[in-house]
Amino acid sequence: MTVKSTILQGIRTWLKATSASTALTDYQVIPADDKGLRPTLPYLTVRVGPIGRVGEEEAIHTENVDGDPVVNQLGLRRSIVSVNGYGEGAEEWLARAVLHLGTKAATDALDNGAGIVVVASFDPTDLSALVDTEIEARVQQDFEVFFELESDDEVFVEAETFVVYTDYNSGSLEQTLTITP
Amino acid sequence: MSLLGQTSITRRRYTAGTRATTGYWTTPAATDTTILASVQEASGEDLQVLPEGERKREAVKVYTETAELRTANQHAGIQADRVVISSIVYEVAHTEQRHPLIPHYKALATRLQEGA
Repeated sequence: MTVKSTILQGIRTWLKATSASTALTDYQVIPADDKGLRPTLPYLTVRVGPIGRVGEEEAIHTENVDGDPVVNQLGLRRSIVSVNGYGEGAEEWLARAVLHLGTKAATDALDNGAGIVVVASFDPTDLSALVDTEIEARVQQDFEVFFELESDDEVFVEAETFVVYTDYNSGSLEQTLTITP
Repeated sequence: MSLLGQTSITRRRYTAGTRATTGYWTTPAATDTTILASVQEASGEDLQVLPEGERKREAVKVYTETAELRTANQHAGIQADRVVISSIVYEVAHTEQRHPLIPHYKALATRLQEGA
């Protein structure tokens, strides 16, 4: 599973669990890029935006199971997740889900399930519009999502000796320093 | 009595689709049937019955005597019929049924993008 699909499914799990007193179904919370039939109203769509970098990566040095020294890169990442609610009632679903962001159900779906932290940084926007001959109720809200990305382990060779060259006025000196574990 | 300019085309009919636990639509199985139909280019006036977003797509009118074509049924989760005419796939977007004088079915089908 890719990083974005993990985020997508984590967000869907949170929305399904907390948007209504009775859990929503897989037909009511769908990926925005789905190409199938639109569900019956109301329903929510979820789109995960591009992944951005937050700050600098950190190099973590550890040992693998063979005792070899390994290094991997750890980086904090941020993405914007856009949730759209279509139809009457979807706005209330979204408001209820935001209200429940700190609850156990949300924490299980987001932090524990998908390894992400969701922040409701933005207010919802009313995008209701004329669709053919009817006004279709639609609300949209963006969320900031933070998570860690970790590179694969890379085995590296530990330095055992250093050669030090020292220049001074009347000549130079070469010294080899050996590290004793 | 047969309709003018009848030709054999393929009707692709789908069973009810489902959604996976990932929320994605699972395209259901389709059954291809050869039917007789009279196919004509759709005029600008014909396209006015289509939803706004579909009026700019290439479309054909499909007249059939007995083979009914159907649009999508959102509640039942059934995709619209598709018709394959000279290897080009169209999706039925609008239907009219049973003209009072000469019983027949009329459907308006819009061309799908390649790869659809």
